[in-house]
Amino acid sequence: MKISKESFHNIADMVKLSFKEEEKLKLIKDLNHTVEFIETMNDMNTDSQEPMSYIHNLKNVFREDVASNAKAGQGLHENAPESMSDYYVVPPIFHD
Amino acid sequence: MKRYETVIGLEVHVELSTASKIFCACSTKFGEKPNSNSCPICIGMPGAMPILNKKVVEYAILVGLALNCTISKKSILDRKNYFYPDLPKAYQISQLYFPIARNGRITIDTDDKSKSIGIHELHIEEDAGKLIHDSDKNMTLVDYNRSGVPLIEIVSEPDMRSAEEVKSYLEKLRTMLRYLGVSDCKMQEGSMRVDINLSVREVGDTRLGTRTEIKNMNSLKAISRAIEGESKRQIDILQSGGLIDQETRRWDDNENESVRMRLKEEADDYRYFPEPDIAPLEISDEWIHELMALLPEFQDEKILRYQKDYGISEYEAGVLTSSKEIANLFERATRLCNLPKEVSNWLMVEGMRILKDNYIDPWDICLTPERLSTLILMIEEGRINRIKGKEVFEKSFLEDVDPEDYVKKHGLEMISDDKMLRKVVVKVLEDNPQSVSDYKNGKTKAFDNLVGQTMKSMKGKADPALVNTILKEMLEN
Ligand SMILES: [Zn+2]
Repeated sequence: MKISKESFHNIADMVKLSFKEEEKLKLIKDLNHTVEFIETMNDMNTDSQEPMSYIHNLKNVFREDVASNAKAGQGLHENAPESMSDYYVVPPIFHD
Repeated sequence: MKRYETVIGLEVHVELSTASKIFCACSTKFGEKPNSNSCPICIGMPGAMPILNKKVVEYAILVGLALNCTISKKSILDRKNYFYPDLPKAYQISQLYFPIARNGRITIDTDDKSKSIGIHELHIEEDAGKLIHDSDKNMTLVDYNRSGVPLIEIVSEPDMRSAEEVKSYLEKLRTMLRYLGVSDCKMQEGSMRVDINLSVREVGDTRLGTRTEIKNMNSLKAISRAIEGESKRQIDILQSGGLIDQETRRWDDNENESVRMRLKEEADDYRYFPEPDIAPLEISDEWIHELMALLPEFQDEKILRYQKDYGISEYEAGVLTSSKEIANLFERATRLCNLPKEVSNWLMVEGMRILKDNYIDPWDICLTPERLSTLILMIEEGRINRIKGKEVFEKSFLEDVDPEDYVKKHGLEMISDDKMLRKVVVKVLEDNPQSVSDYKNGKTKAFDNLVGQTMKSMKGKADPALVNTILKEMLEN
């Protein structure tokens, strides 16, 4: 698999990011490098391997249903690139 | 001309009424200050670790059991990836591969027949935040209070054929979920939202037609209109030789038509994979049995039992059991005063009227079974009359008011003092000579007027039976 300019545009579009032309070229190169690295796995025979979703052996890890975060949200939105009164502000999205 | 039938399946999202969110300890309370119920977990800060709320799993299993589903012994959560600002992590934790429950069914009633609707599966997931679009300032504001509120999604089989069946299914589901106490199912507040999958086909054809999905419906009336509008749109296309596009549409209730949101080919690839942050679930038989013991008696069973135990009609039983709150009030007050017909009458007539007049929900009723029983016994024993009874009923239905105290405080006890009433009647007859002569000339309506006048001068507290007797006696002599 190779990341083409077109698939790079698709991905960038999906994550709503825009790049300068020279950034694009560098990122496409980096991404291809990463994909190549992962592709070394294709040389391995994994037919008898079960896919592994968890690196631990835990099950049923729960918390009790108690609301105790009353102040946790305070001021968090001020970390955002843009905020207004109590809201986060994002670029306009006008369809549902 | 060809005849068509509509085939409908529903995806129903229900917000669970837990105290805290699905993966963090933030409150789920509706209508709070924007972003006040948020924390690093539910706004998706890197490194924040979600931990699953046990009650969410229990509620989902309860609903699964109530819908006659098979509960999965092993269940996992999955990541559904998509980019939208109401989803701060850029993925929703949901379930795709191993949902909590599958293969259920629910029986609905339409007109005069019952029909079984299949439940494909039921899974848990987190809700997204709320976007507010400000077109003047050309920006979008985000409130993450709802982000991480627990949802269950109930996916039906494509077993419904009309708007009426869909309405019946949703009402049945809503009543059941409210009986279970897992959600308030307030459609107007968005705690129950419906996606409609709809296709049409020629009658007799067993294959499914190409379907469209109408997203995010939150009123029963709009759902009915959307089903009728969309099925007509599809039939029109087929009749003129066209083909249906598989697509997602949005219902515009003002324009009374659906509009395209996106074609299936443009649809996102969600790249689901098992959520590594949440440990897999193992649901033991013991756990399932514990929860099974918590299932309440549902409406259908109650309707049958009420007719048998209390000798009331199927219609009355249906109204009394329309909510768990009214049913409890009826059963417990009846146990105390042993007058099922009286309890039923008060709730059916006055109770239902007050709910409607005040736009309140059954869970807002203040009246307790003890107070209802007290009130009914006061009337039965002749301590207050029915007119005053209505006043006391309404007061204690809407507010924390004790009937005994209220009657004493306002001096509402019924007056059955023969001597005193005779004096009042004499005065009424003197003041209304026209009515008296009308009555003597055979106009029975005049008698009602005289009763009314007497009750009025007694401020409604007189014993109506006694007033009748005295009036008759005096008029005849
Ligand atoms: Zn939180």
